[in-house]
Amino acid sequence: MRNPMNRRYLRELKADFGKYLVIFLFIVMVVSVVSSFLVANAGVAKAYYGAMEKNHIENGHLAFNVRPDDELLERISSKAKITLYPADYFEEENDGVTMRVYRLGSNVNLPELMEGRLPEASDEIAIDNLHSLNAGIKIGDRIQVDGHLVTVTGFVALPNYTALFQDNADLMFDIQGFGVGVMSAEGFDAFSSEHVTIGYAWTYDEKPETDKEKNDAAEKVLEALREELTKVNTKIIMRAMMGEKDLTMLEATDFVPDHENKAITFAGEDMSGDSASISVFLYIVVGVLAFIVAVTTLNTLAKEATVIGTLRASGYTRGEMIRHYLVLPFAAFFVGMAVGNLLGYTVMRDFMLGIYRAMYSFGRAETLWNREAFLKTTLLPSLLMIVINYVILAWKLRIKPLRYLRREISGRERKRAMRLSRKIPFTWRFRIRIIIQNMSNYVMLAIGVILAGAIIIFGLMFRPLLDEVSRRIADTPICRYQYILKSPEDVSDEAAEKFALASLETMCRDFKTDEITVYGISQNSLYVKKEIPENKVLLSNGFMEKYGVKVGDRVSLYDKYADKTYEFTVAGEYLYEASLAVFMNLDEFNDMFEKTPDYYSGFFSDRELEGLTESNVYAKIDSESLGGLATQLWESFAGIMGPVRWFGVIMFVLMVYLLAKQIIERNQTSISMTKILGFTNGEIGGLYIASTTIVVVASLLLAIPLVDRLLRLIFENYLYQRVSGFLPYCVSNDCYVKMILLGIGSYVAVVIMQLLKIRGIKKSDALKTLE
Amino acid sequence: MSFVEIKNVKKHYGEGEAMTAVLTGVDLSIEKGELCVLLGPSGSGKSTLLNIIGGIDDADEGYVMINGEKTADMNEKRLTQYRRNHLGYVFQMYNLIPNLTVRENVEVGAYLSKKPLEVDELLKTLGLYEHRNKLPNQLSGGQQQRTAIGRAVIKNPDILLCDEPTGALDYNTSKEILALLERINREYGNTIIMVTHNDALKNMADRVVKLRDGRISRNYLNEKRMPVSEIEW
Repeated sequence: MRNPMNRRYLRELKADFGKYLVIFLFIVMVVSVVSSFLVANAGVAKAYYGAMEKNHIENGHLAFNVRPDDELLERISSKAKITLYPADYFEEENDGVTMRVYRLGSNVNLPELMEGRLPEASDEIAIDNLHSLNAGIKIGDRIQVDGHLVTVTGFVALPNYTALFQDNADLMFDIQGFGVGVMSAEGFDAFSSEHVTIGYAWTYDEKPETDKEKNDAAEKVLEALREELTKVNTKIIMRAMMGEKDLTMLEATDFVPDHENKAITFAGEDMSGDSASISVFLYIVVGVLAFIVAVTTLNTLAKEATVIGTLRASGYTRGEMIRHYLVLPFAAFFVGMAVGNLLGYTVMRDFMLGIYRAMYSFGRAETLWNREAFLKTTLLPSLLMIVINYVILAWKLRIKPLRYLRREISGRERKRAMRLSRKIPFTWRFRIRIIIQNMSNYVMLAIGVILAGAIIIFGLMFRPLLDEVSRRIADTPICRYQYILKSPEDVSDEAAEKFALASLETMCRDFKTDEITVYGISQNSLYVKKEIPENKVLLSNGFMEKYGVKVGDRVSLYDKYADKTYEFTVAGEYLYEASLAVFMNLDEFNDMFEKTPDYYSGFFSDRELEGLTESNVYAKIDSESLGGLATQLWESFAGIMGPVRWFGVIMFVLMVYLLAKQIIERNQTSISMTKILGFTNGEIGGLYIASTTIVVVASLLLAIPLVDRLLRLIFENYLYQRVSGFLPYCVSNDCYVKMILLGIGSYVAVVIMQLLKIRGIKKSDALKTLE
Repeated sequence: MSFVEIKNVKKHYGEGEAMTAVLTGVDLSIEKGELCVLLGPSGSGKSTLLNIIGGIDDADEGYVMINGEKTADMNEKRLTQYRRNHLGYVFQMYNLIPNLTVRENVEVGAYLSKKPLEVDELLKTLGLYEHRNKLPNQLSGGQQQRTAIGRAVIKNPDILLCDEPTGALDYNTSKEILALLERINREYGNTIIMVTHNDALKNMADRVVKLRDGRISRNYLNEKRMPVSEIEW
C-alpha cells in the first residue's frame, strides 16, 4: 500500500505555495548565477589555456636599451636552453589612449583573428578585440598612429595580453587607456619611430611544469642575461678606457617571465580565484538557506505537533516522519537546482560570458558542460542541504510522542515565562513575548539580513572606495611631475630636484609579489618634506598597512635582476598613496645600489621641465596618469557590482518574506483570537509585524559593525594577499545608509504582504480544532 | 499469565520540591479481549498509566508486559514496531490530518498494518462512508472522533488505547462513540483500555479499575456488563 500521507504533498504545496516558491526562487537565483559563472569561467579558461598552446605564447620577454648583437642572443639562448624571438614594439599615445603595436611575422604570441583579417598593407592594423569594443572602433575605421591614419582590418586576441596591463607594475589592467595591435612587417617598419622598444620573447626548449621549475628556468635565463651583459659591458668599459667615445652600455630594460607577467597570468588567477570565491559564496548562501528551511520545517512540526504525536504513538517511525516533512522543501530545492542549472547553462551563461569578455581579451570561448560546475553547484549544496536538515529534523523527532501530543517540543514550555516589568507598556510586552516565542526564526532572520547586507555593501562599496583612492592619490603627490630618465641628464630649472629610483620586489610568502618603488631622496628635499633618519627608511602608508609593518621593523626586498636582497630599517610612514614605496636618502641609495655618488635617475618637479631629451625620458608621471587608476579599477569592477547589489536585495526580500510569513502562520490561532477579542487588523499588525520590524531594523543596524568587520577580514586575509598593489579598506558611510534604505524599502513590500495575510486570517480559525 | 501484566509501576514528574508522584505502585492484569475502563478523578494517574502501557511514556519503576514482552526492555526502534504492530490510539482531541480526507485519514492507520481491515467496510461500520471524501474541518466533532477511531481500528490492533475519547463531545455523540467502541470490541475482539472520569461508564466494561492518588483503589470484573444504549449519566 502506498503511504496515504503522500497525498498531502500536492495539497501542502498549494496551501503553502509562497514558502516553496521562495525556496525555489532563492535557489534558482543562486544556482543560475553560480553555475553560469562557473560554466562561463570554465569555457573562458579553456579558451585562455587553449590559446596559450595554439598561439605559441611566450615563456617570457626581455628588452634592451640598444639592439644587442646576434651572438650575444645566441649565447643566452644556448646557456638558458631557450629560443629567442624578436618582439619589438612601439607605443603611440593618442587622446590618452596608448596603443602598443607589434610586428607580425614572429613565431611567438600569434594573434588569434576574431573578426576581419590580418593587416597586409603598410597602412593597415589589426587591434585587440577588447580594446576595440571599449573604444567603439569598427573594422574599416581609420585610426591615428604616429600622426598617420591607418585602417583597422580586423580584431585580434593576443595570448600574451589577455589582461591589458600596460606595465607589469600596474595595479590593474586598463581597458580604456591601453590597447595592443599588430601591423605587417612592412607597416611596422614604415611607422615605427625612435620609440621602438627592442624586445625579445623566449620559449623554453623544455617546458617547466611546476612553479619551482618555472622559477628555476626563469632564473637561468636571468643568470645568462646577467653574465652576458657583464661580459659585453666590461668590453665596452675597456673600449671607453681606450678612448673610444659615444659608447652605450647595453642594459636590460625589461625582464618578465610568463609566470610573473600580469598581462598573461592575471586573467587565469582571477578566474581561479573567482571560481573559488563564488563556490564559497554559494555554500554560505545554501548553508543559510538550509537553516531557514530547517526553521520553517520546525515551524510545521510545531503546527502539526499533535498529529505527529498521534502518528508516532500509532507506530510511524522517525525515519518516515523525517522523510515526510523533508519531501516538499527538498523538492522545491532540487527543482530549483535543476531550473537554476538550466538557466545557468543557457540565458545566464551569455551574461556571465559578457562580464568576462568586458574584462579580458580571449579568443573564441565556448561554454561547455562542466562536471566540476555541476559538482559545485548541485552535488555539494544538495549534500549541505540534506545533512543540515536531516540532522536538525532527526534531532527534533527524537522527542517522545507524548511531548508532541502535549505540544511540548520547543523545550521552553516548562520553563517559567520571562518576567517583564509592568512599567513596560502592554503592547511592548506583547511584542517582546512574540520575539522570545519566535526566537529561532528571528535568529535566522538576523543572520540572513546581515548576510544580505554584506552582499549589498560589497556591491555598493567599490565606487566610493575607488573615488576615495583617487582622492587620496590626488591629495598625496610627491610633486606635480616625476620624470624618470633612461640615463642621468642635467636640467636647469629650480623646481627640478634629483632623485634616484629602483624597483624591488617583496618577499612575503603568503602574499602575491608586490613591486616596490625605492626612491633615493635628495638632502633637504623640497618635495619629500619629512626627515629620513640616517640608515633608515620611510615606507609609504599603503606598504605599512598592507604588510602590517611597524616602526623599527626590518623589511627585506629583492632585486630580481641582481639576485640580491636588501634590508631596510623602518623609521616611519610617509603619506604617499600612488604606489607601494620606500623613501631613503639619496647618498645611501647610491651606496646601497652600488651607484656613483652623483647618480640619479630622474627629477621631481612642480612644473613641466623643458630641455630634457625626449628619447631619454623613460616615463613622465603626473596627476593624470595616477588619477586614472581608480577609473581603470572601477571599469573592471562595474560590470559585476550592479548584479551583486541587486542579488543582495532580492536575497534580503526573499528571506525576510519567508521568515516573516512563518511567524504570522505560527501565530495564526492567536491572531484569530485577538480578532475575536476586538483587535483591528492594524492593531494586530502593530503587534506581530512590529516585532518583525524591530528585528529587521535591529539586524540592519547590527549589520553595520558586523559587515564592516567581515569585509575588513576579507580584505586583510584574502584580497591583500591575492592582489598586488594596495587598495585601502574603507567603506563610505553612504553605503551603509543606502544598505539600510534598500533594506527598509524592500521590507515595506514584505510588510504589505504580511498585512494582507493578517487580513486573510478568519476569526473562526481560533474556534476550529484543525487537527 | 494475563495478556497485559502491570507490576509495581511507579512514576513521578518534576524534580526536588516540585516532584509529584503520579503513580505510586500499580499492579494490574488485563485479559485478551477485555474492555477495561480506567476510572478516576483528574490527576489520579489514569492517563499516565495508559501512556506507559502504550509505550509513549516510561515508568520509573516496575514494568508493563504485553503478551509476554516487557516494554521497558525494548529500544526506541523496537518500541515503535511494537506500537505499529499491536496498538491503536484514540485521544480526546482527534488529531486528524487536516489536509487528508476521512478515507485517507483512516488509510494512514491501514498503511501501518500487515493485515488491515477493509477500509470501506470499516467506514460503513463507523457510519462515515458517505463522508469519506470530506476533510476533517467539514465534519462534526463526533464524526471527527469516529474517523480517529477508524484510523486506530483499521490496523486491527491487539489493544486499543482510548484516552477520554468522549471528553470533548456532547452526551448523544458520546453515547454514539462509546457504542461504536463496544461494537468494535465485540466484533473484532480487540482488547480495549479506556480512560474516563465518567463513573457511569464502568457499566459497559468487563473490568473496572479505579485509581486514586496514583494507586488502584478498586479493581474488579463487572459481572453485569450493560450495553451503552442503556447507560445514562
